[in-house]
Amino acid sequence: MGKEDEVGDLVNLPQKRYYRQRAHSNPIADHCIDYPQTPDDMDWDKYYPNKGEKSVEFADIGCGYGGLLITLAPMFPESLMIGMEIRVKVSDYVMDRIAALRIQNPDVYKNVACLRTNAMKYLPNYFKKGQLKKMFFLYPDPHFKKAKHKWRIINKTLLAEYAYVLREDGIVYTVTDVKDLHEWMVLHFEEHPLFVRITDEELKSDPVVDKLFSSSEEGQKVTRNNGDKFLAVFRRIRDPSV
Amino acid sequence: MALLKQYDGCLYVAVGDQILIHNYSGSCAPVKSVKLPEIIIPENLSVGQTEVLKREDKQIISLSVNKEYILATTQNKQVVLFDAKLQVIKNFVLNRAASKVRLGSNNDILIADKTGDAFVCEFNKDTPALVLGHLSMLLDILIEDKYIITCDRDEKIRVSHYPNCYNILSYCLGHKEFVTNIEIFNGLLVSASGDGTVRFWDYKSGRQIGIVNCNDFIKDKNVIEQFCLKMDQDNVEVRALPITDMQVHGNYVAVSLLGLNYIQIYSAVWSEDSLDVKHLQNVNFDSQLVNFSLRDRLIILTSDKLLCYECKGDKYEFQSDLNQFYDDNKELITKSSKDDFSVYYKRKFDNVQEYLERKKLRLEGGLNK
Ligand SMILES: C[S@@+](CC[C@H](N)C(=O)[O-])C[C@H]1O[C@@H](n2cnc3c(N)ncnc32)[C@H](O)[C@@H]1O
Repeated sequence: MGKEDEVGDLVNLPQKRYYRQRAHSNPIADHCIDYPQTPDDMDWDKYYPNKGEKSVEFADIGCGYGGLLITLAPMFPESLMIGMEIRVKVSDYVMDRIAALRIQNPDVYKNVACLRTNAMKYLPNYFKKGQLKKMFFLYPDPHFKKAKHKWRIINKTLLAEYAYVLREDGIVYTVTDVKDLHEWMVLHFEEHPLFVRITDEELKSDPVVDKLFSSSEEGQKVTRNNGDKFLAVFRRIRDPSV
Repeated sequence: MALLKQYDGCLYVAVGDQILIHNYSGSCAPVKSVKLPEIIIPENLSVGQTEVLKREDKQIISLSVNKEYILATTQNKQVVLFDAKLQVIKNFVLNRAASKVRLGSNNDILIADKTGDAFVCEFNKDTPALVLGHLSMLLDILIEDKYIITCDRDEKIRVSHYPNCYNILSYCLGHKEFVTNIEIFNGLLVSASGDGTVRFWDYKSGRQIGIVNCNDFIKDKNVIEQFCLKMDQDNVEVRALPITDMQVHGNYVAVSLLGLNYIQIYSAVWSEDSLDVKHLQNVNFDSQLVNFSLRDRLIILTSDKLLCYECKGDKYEFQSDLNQFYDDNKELITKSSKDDFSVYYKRKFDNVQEYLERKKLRLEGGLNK
């Protein structure tokens, strides 16, 4: 081991090689996950050193190695953000990464955190109705086979749950390199009465959009491989039928 | 397992693919029975799927009865609606097996399925439409006013608008195990769970108004302990004896718990923002419970008897054995299989602990070198 390692992994950024894990986990199986019974039972102070009265407003769903959160942290210093990741080692990597970054830059990363959970099952356990302003779905697992379409993190019936935790005017960002998945996501969001697609014109003024393509690790991988990147962004609207 | 329902002085018993109807309140107690019609195999199925449908058990697993109709669904995914004259009104096959069907107020058919999807087949339509979905097996479903309420194996109760079901109004969260039953109770929602509690909710806000731990009214605490031990061997962490069924009638809530030879009866009064719940009695019997049905009469089917209790004052008092009916149909009633409740529990496989221990070793190793 080199000299730097001896200082401990908390000050140095964690090394990814210790945290690699098989890519796909089954989101429907019973994982052993610690989740709060209700949002009121959630102790967010544990995650954010300066939480105060603020509540979490951004959620990166399936955050992977956390690149997006790290990029957004200094852009929105007043907003609390959470990365939600189901894989044990990968979420642990993000936690260690944030802990190390906080030591290196004491003023910057206090507003980001990561937790291990199944975001397809437990969002209402963490967030109250209308709590979130932004949700991110970057490069979600494509689950190509038809039989596994119900594993897709965007699907017809799950959108109701995302609409529930998002406030009106809240925004969902999706990016994928898989054309078929892009079309699938657009189809389901457009069919859902509580979402409308945001036009490219409107997106130009949103500073987040630029960061979506290659701040995350998966995005960087797609860039290296010269893959396509399909963006689709949606706004949560009021129920047109009430 | 034989299912019981009562409506208007009649007892409905579903066994296998038959429904027996016993008019117990009439003087001469005539019994009618009806068999489910042949399953109509959907055209788009493969030969293999058709075989499976034909081979699977035809046993009725959920029954719902109202003034005009009788609704039943079977293990092999058939749904049948009869009218009061026992004419078949609807007969269709679901894509996936249901765990519960219920007649809605307009005689709409509500279906909660085992993959977590909820369907409504409006009375004047032929096929059910997907209205919402959980990512966990649904165990019950109801429609009240402008809301559709569903509960699942993941402790959740979801309240969605109806018919705009894509819009979730609230969640009623707090149960610590699967939610077996939900009912509307004097304007509140009441739910029963594998965690051994009954909870009362203001379902529009998701606020819990009251809770009863039914395990507190188990006389012999050994039973709870033994069940927990047994489940522990199966790698499931359990802290309570689960509620297997809950029914409501007027101000009464009746509850059965796994393996107990009695039904617990509670009264609950909800007025001026305060809920008063009392344990009234345990209705005892001396053989194993199969199922029960609570109305003005409490009818209990055990492994060797059919018992009838009547509500007098604040007490269900023994009235009679329904011996004649039981004996006449004994062979049928006693032959069906038992439900396995343990499937609703989640097995723990803790991959986190193991990972963290290995990580600790790695870090310590790094420091020691
Ligand atoms: C292809 S990766 C993309 C990661 C990251 N968003 C990025 O752009 O680098 C998809 C991630 O979603 C996670 N995931 C899949 N299903 C999930 C679920 N139900 N809850 C939380 N995370 C999930 C996977 O473990 C995986 O890390």
